[in-house]
Amino acid sequence: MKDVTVEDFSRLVSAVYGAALEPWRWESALREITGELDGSGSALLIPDCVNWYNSTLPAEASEAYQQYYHRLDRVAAATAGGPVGVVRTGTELMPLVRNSEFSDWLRPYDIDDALVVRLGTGASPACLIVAAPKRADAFDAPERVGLVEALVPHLQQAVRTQGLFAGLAGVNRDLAEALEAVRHGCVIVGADRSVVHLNSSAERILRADDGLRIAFSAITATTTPASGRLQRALSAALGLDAVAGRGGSLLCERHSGNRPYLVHVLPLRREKPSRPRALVLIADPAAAPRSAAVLLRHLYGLTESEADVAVRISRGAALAEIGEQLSVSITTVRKHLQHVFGKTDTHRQADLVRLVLALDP
Amino acid sequence: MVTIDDFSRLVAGIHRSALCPDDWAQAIDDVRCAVGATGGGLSIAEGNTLRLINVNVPDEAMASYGAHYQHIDYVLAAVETGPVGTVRTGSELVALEADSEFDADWMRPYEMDDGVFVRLTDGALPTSIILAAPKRSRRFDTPERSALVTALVPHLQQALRTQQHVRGLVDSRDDLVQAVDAVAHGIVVIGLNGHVAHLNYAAKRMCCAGDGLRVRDGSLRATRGSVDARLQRAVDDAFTRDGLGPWGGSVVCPRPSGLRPYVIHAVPADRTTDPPFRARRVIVAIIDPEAEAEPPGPLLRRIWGLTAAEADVAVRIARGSELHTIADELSVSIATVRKHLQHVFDKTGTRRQAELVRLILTLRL
Repeated sequence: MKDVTVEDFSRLVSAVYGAALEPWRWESALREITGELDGSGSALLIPDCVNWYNSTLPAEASEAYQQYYHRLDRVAAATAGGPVGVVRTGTELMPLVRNSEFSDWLRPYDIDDALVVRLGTGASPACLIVAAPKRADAFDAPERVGLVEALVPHLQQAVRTQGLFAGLAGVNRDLAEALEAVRHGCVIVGADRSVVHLNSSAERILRADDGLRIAFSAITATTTPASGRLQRALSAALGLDAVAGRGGSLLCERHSGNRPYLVHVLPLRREKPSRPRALVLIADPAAAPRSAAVLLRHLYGLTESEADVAVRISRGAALAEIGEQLSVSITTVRKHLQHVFGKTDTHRQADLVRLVLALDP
Repeated sequence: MVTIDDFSRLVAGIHRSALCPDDWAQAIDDVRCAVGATGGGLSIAEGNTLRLINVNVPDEAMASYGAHYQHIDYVLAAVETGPVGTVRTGSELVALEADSEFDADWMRPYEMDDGVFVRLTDGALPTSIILAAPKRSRRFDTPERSALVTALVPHLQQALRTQQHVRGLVDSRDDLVQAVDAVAHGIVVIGLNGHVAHLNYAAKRMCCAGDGLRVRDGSLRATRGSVDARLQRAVDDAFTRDGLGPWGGSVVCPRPSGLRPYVIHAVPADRTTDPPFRARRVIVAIIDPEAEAEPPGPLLRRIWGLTAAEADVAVRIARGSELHTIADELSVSIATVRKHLQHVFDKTGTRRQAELVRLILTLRL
């Protein structure tokens, strides 16, 4: 093994931290480590994220390892069960697997020696494995062990960093999904009025360009009175004017002639005035509640005709209209409605509308 | 130059600071000691202001710098407008305005009229590292010092990028938490192990109220056994069933208080893209029909130009009251209520009570 300069070491460490930020770069980082140590391949096992990065093994070797041989890998087991941060050698650990079934996996790839180190704590810790072929001199020369030891704190921190990123990204994904469960369009707006996040309802509404749209990455009303009102409500919610921390509600007319959108603007993160955020909620009064009929049947045991009548009433139709639409007499519609009242424990049409609208988050 | 172990220690400190920005002072101080500088710091441009993480600079020097000298600091100005990643030296930069006020009255007396400086980031608001030292007969930028600082630069840059990335993730988490909290319904995110991964503000309140729902051992449970069985099945269905509609399953959850039951929906989320299409998360939305906040009268007045009396009637209709009840409550004749209601219909463009209720309820958040 050639001498390692500070520049060489710096390059390895950079590669390691770079991989923490972009995990697809682990492969090249491990290749550099393998090259510096003059090994034949190396792998980083990160069980919590179910990741296995290896530098030189062919894909089928990784696959066979993950699917079957990892259970037989007593070197990895001894490392994972051993002390944290201590570099273990092939001289010590390879006898555990010689002449075992696991050597079937090792042999074709000419793995006969290794340096391994447990990086993390916990039941299934991250481990680094650097493999080497059979050679005249043992792989555990002091320079090699020293280099791996010097890399350990950096590998540990990189693995921790990667875990932190994965955790935060996961939380953000969860929260974004939670906003998807809301019927309204939800838009988070930043200090410069640019859209920071939107749920798919909002995306649909803005893409329809029916009175509201995104222009220059900001949410904009395209009709004249609404445009000024929306700007004022946003300014107020973002604390950009004198009346800080207040939002506003407005109607936004639509080119299609459909009932105007109802737009609510709320201030978010009042406790952090340096990074103001506003939440814009867009309700579309023209949108029918999703699958209300199915839900009424499922939750309250309405028949198909009863649910049909209930949904039409909740959309604002009069009994006579409903009779016409369904080609039945108004007496029949009344009879259905009585049953609906009975089954849903409501007494008046207004009550029923409240109930139907409450079915939908 | 330093040994690999020393270098490793410096670099570890720098990368640690990316996750714990409070550690920057220590990391920069270690670098300062390693190069033998008098004072050092990380200067972070933030809008029109400058944030300095400074180490080993006397307090009085910092005070006068902040009050006056920062505006005539031509050395930092040259670094911040110069090339990114290049090690600049005191002998080059201090000489730009040698013996000027900043040189003679601040840098020299505080023994910082030599050193090495590097602009670390690009953009309009750069971050730079400053390692200052007194001017001696021998220049501060010896090849060893320059080599060490040059080797540290990519690590400083990488750590700043990581810090930026963490901040971005944390900021968007905070944004989303608040947005989800602003939703009036209870929203619960359930993970693969059946445990609650997130509860919004409304869901927390519902679970604390213990009126038919609670969180037990990390899971969302209905207090009544038969309802709980349906709830768990609905969540399970949302996780596993293929080709499910938008609703995984819905449950009506009665409340011991006798209030109108909660309506609960379990919806699959974050589905795998390869078959079997299993959801990785289930979102449970809990609706409290009692708490369906009714929009306040002032909002109706502002949006549709209703009078106070008309808004009052509209709110009561939306609440489910009948006309004669409203007349009683407001101590007016039923004819007056009807007249108000007709005006409300005209102004809101509705024709019937049910239609009006629907419109008013879309004002809910």
